[in-house]
Amino acid sequence: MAARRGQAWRRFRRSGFGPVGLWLLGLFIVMALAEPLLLSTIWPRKIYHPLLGYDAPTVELTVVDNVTDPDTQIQLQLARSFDPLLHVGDTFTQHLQPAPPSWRHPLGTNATGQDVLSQLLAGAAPALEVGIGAALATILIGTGIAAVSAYYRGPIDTSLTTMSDSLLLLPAPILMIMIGFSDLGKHIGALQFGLLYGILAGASGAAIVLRTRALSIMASPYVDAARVAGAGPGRIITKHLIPNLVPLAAIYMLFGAAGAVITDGFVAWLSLGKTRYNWGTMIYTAVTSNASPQGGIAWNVLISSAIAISTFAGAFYLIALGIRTAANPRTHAKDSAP
Amino acid sequence: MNGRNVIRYLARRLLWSLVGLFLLLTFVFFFAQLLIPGDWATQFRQVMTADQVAAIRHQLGLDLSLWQQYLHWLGQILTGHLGTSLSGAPVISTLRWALLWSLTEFVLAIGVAFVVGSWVGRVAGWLPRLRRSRGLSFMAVGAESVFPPWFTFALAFAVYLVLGRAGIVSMTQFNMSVWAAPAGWPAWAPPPGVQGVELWMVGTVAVFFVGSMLLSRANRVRRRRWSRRMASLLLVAGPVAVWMLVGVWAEAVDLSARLAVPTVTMAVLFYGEITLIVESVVADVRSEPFVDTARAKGLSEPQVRDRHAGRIALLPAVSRLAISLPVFMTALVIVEYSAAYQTANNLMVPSVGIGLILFTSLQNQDMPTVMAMLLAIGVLTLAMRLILDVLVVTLDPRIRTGESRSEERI
Repeated sequence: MAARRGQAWRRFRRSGFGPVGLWLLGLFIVMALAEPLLLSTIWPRKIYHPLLGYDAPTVELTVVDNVTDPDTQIQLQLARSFDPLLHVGDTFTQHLQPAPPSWRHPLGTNATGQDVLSQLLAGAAPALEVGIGAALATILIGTGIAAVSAYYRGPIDTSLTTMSDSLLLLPAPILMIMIGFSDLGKHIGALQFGLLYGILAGASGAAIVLRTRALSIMASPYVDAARVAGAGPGRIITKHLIPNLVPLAAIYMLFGAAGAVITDGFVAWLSLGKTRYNWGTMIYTAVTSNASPQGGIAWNVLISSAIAISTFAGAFYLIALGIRTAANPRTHAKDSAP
Repeated sequence: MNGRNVIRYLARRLLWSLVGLFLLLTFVFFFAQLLIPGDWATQFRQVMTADQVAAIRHQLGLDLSLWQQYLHWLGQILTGHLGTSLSGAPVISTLRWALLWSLTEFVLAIGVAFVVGSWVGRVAGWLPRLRRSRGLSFMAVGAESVFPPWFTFALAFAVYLVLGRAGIVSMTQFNMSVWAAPAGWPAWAPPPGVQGVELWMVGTVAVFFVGSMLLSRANRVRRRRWSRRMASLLLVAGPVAVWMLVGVWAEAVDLSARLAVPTVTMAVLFYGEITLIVESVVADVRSEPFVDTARAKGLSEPQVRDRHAGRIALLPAVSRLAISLPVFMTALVIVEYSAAYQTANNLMVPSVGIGLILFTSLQNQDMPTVMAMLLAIGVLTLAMRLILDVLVVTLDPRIRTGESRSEERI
C-alpha cells in the first residue's frame, strides 16, 4: 500500500502540473501569514493597513504656459480650484492617488491612498478560507450522496440524483447573490460563504460524477465478495466504496474550491460582500477609480488583483490536473515502460 | 442497454429534472420573497408618498399573501404564460430577444472553443512524449481560471482602443435605432431596430453555415479540393455581402464588436477544458495499433492525427461538455453581467442577454421576470444536455449495442 502511494506521489510529481499548483498554493499561504506579521512588525499601521492606511507621495509641479494636453489642462484646473492665485512659474504640491510603484510601496497605492501590496496580502486569507470551506463541503456531501445512492439504489438514488441534478440547473452565483441581497448576507464570513457554496453548488456537480464511478465500483467482484463474507452497508461504504472514490473526489473538491473563490470574487466585485474584503473588491475599486483626480484606470490595482485571483483559482486546477494524471490508469502503464 | 432502453432512460431523466427544476423555482420564489427585504414597490419610496406606494403594491398584487402570489404564478406557468413584468411589459417579449442574444453568444463561444480547443489539443497531444511541452497545458489551465470581471474589462478596453480610435465603432452611442426599414419592406422580414439587425446577422450566418456544410459534404463525395475553400470563403463573404445589400453593414459591425467581448471571454473560459481532455486522449492513443495501421496505409501525418486519433477524442470531449454544461451556463450569467458592467466606464453599451436581465430584475425584485429567466436558463440547460446526451449515444456504439456504458473519464 505504501509502495503504491509512493508511486502515485511520483506520478503526481512527474506530471509537472501538481507541484506547480502546490508551490502556488504554498505561496498564497505564506502571503496570508505574512500580512499580520508585517503589520505588527515593520509596517506602520497608519500607512500600510489595507483599509485604514493612507499614504500619498507628493510631487512638485510648476505651472507653465501654453497647456495643450487635455490631461494637463484638467490637472491645472484642479490645482486652480484649490488655489485661484496660481500664476505661471508658481509651484504647487500634488498628492499622487493612485501612485505608481516605488520602494516604499512596491505595487503602488490605489485611488484612495492604500498600499496595494498590503491589500493583496490581506486578500489571501479570506480566499483560502473560502476555498477550504467549499472544499470541505464539496467532498463530504458529494462523496456521501454518491456513496449512499450507489449503494442503496432505488428511490433513495432517484431522489438524491434528482436533487443534485436540479440544483445544477440554477447558476450558482445567482444563489450566492440572493444570499448577498438578503439580511443573511451581512453576517456571513468567508468560511461560511465557502461552506454555503459547497453545499449549494459544488456538492451537486461532484455527486453526479462520483455516483457514476461508485456504480461501477459496486458492480465489481470484490464488493460481491465482501457482501458474501457478510459485510454490512457501513463496512462496504467506508472500506470499499469511499477509498476508491478518493482520487476523483479530490479532483472535484479542488474544482469546487476554485469555483467558490471565483464566485466569492464576483459577489465582492458586485460589492455585495461589503463586510468582507478580497481581491474582487480590489478589481471593483480599480475599474471604478475613474473619478480620481488623475483620472484613468488604476492599472497597478487591476493587474495585481487580477493576477492574484486567477493564479489562486489556477493553483487548484493545476493540483487537480496533477491528481488526474497520477490517477489515470493509462498513464501508469506508459510511465512504468522505459 | 439497447436503443429503446437508452431512450427510456433519457426520457425519465428529463422528466425528473423538470420536476426538480420546478421544485427549485419554488424554493427560489419563497427564498427571495421571505429573506430579501422589501419588494418591487420599495424602490418608489423615495419619490412617492406611503399611500401611493401602497396603491402600487395593491395594483400589482404584492399585498396578497405569499401563497396567493405563488399560486397565481403557478397558474400562469401551467397555462403557458410567463406573466407580465412588474414594470408592465410582458415578460415573453423581453425573453425572446434576450434568448436570441444569449444563444448567439453561447453557441458561438462553444463552437469557437470546441474547434480551436480540439485542434490545439490534437496538435499538443500528438507531439512525442519527450518533446511535449507543458506550456500549452498551462495556458489551458490559465484560460480556465480567468476571472470574467477583469477579462471583460481588459477586452472592452482593447476593443474600444482599437476600433473606437479608428472610428469604426462609436462606443458611446447605439447605432441601432437609426436603421429603419426601407419602403416596401415585406411583413415577414425581421423588424427594423436592434432586434432586426440581430435577426439578420444570426439568420444569414446560419443559412450560410448550412450552405457551406452542404458544399463541403458534396466536396468530400466528389473529392474536389477547391470547393472546400469555396465553402469557407462563402461562410465569410456570404453574410457580409447580404448585410451590405440590405444596408445593415454599419450596424452589424457595431453589434459584432459588442458581441465580441462576452463571446471571446466565454470562449476562453470553455477552451481550457476541451483542449485538456482532447490532449490527454490523443496522447493516450498515439501509440495504439490502429494509428500505425492508418500510417501504413500511406496517410499523411495530419490525416492520421485528425481523422483517426482525433476522432477517438470526440466522445470524451462531448461527454465532458455534457457534464460541464451547468458550469458553462454559470459562466454565461457572470460574463454577460461583467461585459455589460463596462458601461459604467463608458466603454460599451450593453447587449441585453438572459444573464443581465436576471441580475437587474433580481436587484429590483421583479419576481415574474426573475422566475421567467431562471425557467429559461433551466429549460435551456436541459435541452442542451438532451442534445449532448443523444450525441454521446450516437457517437458511442457500445451504449447502443449494450456492451457497456461508456466509462466516465476523470
